[in-house]
Amino acid sequence: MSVLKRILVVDDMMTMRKIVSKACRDAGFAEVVEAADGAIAWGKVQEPAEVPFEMIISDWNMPNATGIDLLKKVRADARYKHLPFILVTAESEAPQIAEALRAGADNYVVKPFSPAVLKTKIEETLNKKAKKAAA
Amino acid sequence: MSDYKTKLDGKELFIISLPPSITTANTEAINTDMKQWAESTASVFVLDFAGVVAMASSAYRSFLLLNQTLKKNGKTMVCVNCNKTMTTQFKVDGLLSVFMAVGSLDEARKIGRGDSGKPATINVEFIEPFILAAQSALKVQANTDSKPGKPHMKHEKYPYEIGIAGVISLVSDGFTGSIALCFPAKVFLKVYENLVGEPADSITPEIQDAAGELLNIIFGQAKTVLNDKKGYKISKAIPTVLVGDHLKIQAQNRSQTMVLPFETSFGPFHIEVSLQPESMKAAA
Repeated sequence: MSVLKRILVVDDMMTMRKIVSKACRDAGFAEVVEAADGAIAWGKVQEPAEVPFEMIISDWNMPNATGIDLLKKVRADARYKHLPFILVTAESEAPQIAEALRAGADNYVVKPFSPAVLKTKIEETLNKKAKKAAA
Repeated sequence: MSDYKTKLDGKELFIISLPPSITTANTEAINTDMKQWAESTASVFVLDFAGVVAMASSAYRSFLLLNQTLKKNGKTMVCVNCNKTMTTQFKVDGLLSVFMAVGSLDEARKIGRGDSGKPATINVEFIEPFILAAQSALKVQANTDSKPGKPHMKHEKYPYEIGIAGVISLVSDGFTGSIALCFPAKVFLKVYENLVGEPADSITPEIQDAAGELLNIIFGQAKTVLNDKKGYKISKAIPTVLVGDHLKIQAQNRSQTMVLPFETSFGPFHIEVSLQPESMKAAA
């Protein structure tokens, strides 16, 4: 995998942000930016930055704006519509997974997950993006 | 091009035999065929995985949409003949509830005769998913082995010390109640250390949401099993966290509460499952 630079981790639970952020650093991301809900995250996505985000990993159930709300905003904006997006959820019922894929999630992670599973999902998602770009 | 074959087995079963290698290309026609299928007399749609050796994750979408369409029409999707590789793949991808395996076509027929949105009783069927989910959440997310003890009804002589608890409401078409995940402070601090990889000396506001997060994971897993496999209709809910010395969890008046005790190498913790008596009556 090439050198990874910047990722946005979104979760209202500080504990889960810490867990996901640590896994992202272990997966090779140099900078991990955190946000506590979808609304704050959307602000961070749009902030001018020297290095753009290479991926967003977001929890689903959050106050103010959910992960799906954030995903829909990201996909509706031409600047970010191809930005890799992984949804994290404790809900693995079929309608929820279908909703995530319909809204444009590139991948999803069901809790509980081990750091190894999250790392694999990150790699899968980046590989998919690389293949699409090469096609 | 579609490589799958379909047939109606009696009035109840619609069997879809899948190709050895399942890809988007050979299953995309499902999306156009499924509306017509949903109008058939069959109540259970069986994905036959006999001979299937690989399935691309990009092909999930067709099956997820099929499952959703069938559910909307009051029908069920199940799988037969899933080999170990496929089962492991579905488990890793969190799709066991979508690709719900059954042992035989007879079993599939029985599922077709089941009811839904049923009321709850505090019995093995209802509490077992919480026990399994708690063990899984602690093991996978917090690298902590736990051994379940014997479940028992909550009584006055209550031996458990609670320093922190996550509480979540149970709301369903058929019943109401609550689930509480309760830790003594010292056990919680050790579990937190395993969860995050950082030591903690006391329960501060920064770390207490871990109790809610663990309960959220346990609730999410158990709810998936109870809704998808057992016919309940439990709604989503957000946990709250209680912290204090010698906490007592008080369920609503006259609720019946089952205590599910667990033991870890750090000490005990437990889950309290409470159901309103009205729910219990409805189940009779």
